Amino acid sequence: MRGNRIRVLLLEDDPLDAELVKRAIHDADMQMELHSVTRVAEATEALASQHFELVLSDLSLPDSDGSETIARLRQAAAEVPIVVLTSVDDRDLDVELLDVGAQDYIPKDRVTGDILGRAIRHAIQRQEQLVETQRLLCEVKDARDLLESKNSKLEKLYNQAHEFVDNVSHEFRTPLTVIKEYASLVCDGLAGEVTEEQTRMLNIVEDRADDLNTMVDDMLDSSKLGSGLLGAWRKPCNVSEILRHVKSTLSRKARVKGVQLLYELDPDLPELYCDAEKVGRVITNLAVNAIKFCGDPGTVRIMVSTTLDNPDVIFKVEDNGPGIDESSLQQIFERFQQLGTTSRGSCKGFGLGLAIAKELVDLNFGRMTVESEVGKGSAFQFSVPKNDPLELMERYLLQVDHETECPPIVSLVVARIDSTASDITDDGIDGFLNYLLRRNDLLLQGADGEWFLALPTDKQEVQKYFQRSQQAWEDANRNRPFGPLPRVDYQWLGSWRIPEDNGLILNEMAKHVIHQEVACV
Amino acid sequence: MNATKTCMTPSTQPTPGYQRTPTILCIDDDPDITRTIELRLSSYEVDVLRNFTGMQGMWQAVQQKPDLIITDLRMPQGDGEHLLESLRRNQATAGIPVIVLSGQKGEQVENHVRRLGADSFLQKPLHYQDLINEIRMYVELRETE
Repeated sequence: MRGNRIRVLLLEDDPLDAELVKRAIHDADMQMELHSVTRVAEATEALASQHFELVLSDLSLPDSDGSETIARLRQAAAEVPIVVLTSVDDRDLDVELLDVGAQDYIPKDRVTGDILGRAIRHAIQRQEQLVETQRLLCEVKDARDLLESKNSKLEKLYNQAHEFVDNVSHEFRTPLTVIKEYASLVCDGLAGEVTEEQTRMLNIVEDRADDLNTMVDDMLDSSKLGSGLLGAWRKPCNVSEILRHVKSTLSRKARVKGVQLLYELDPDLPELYCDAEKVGRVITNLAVNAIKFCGDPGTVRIMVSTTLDNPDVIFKVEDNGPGIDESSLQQIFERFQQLGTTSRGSCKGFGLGLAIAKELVDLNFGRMTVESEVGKGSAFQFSVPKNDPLELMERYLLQVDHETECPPIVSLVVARIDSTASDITDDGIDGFLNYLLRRNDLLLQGADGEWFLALPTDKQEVQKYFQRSQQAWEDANRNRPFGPLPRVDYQWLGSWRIPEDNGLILNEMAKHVIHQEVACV
Repeated sequence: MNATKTCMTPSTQPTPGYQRTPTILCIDDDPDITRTIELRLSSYEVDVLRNFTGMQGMWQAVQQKPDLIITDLRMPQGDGEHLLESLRRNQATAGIPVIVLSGQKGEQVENHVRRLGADSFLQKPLHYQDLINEIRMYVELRETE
């Protein structure tokens, strides 16, 4: 409390009661300066023109009555504490008085120096605290507003940056297409005869155009990986399909460099569950590096193998180059980790390609390793999981557990379509369900028009997913020339905490998977 | 490339024995893109029409009813999305198969254009053999003698 005299405004029309209060104040032995008025109108005037630390007020006045008096005083001075002097008739008003903004009340028949002094001190203290709390709340609100506006600005910048990268890469691809196609057209003799030397040169043009295209891919991927925007379209696929898409680029590159490119594949490789395009990019990046660094005469081997008890298929890209010494190997792996955090300068020929390859392998729940011996060559190896829903779910749960942005909750949903009612293959719906996926969601294809969906959210968020799905389904059917998408029915299986409930989630999955296998038989 | 082929049926299956030359309309704001496609197709019995904006391409599609449309996505004056929507809304063109050829990448873009009514999605830079294979899904390509 301030050391100066406390200025108190007394609002009391009964001269006897006023005298009583004055005496009590005197008894309270407090340094007070009392200013007496008899009407609310006078009081509001006084409050507007002077500073008071406290208002002591009667309720029944010539120009106001009951809680209205307090409300009017509050309006006149929002921050001055008010202590009400109540008479016997006002007892019922207690709570209401506090509601309209009084700090305290004292029955007139109990006004003594002690009680009044304490009430005044408390009221002033309480009011000070209230003002402080309000000030703090305001500060918090301001800080939050500032943060929100900064956030939305950042988000805007972030989106702009991505749009920019998208645009730039699009702008790159059109001239690249033209360069490649004209080179290829001339090379194929569609513009007249070409000599062997010219063919060789045109092949180099095409090869370099491919390099540029890979760089554009890398740039795009790294910008998305760094910000976690790169999604994956994982589905059952086979090794030969993946290799088919990368072979033409790689064989041209090998031909241009005079490198022997060999493929060694185990017979009967099982089905994988991955984003085929991304696995293709990993092979391309590793093989392009191998072709660049292999010996003379150069040989690059791409090997794909697995064993029955291995849950993964292993891809290996081996060269007969100079090899990498141990300290550089360490460096390579450090660079793997740097992706998305710091600037990435070129590390002695190991560009962005390797770092991205590692990230793309992670995205498919695989692992990447490197072995190398100086003078003999290097072998980069990565794994891609086989199509086993339980194993994939287990790896997914581990990934979500490591992801700090995810809440430790996973919900499991089954999506079903009536596969007999529609002759549309699952591809349409698979694409649709994939379209709805967000970061850290997992979609697993079950048998016979069934999909498993794991979402790192609680039940409430799952409801939002259903709404989003419904909206997207309606949008999708607006423009389909080949008839509507089949209706998707969702069943929420439950939400669990991870990692403690991982076992329960896998059990729930197992029930459905086994049920399906039985159904398949 | 993720082009899905399974659920699509050619809307204009040529009648056996009928030797009509199919027409393909190529739309891209970059004339060199449509020119290279035209050159590629010069060794096949096919008429290639070229156009450079989505808007004019739409008109040409309505008037000349090509057997197949190959279009870019980002173009000034009527982009590919607008073109797809217009094609699907117009009775005369609703059934014409469309191959989208885009520099944009990723399953989100692919899904989006499929949703708008595209039948196939190919990415630039393209291997011409992929394009020929894709075209063959919708029109019969005979090599010129």
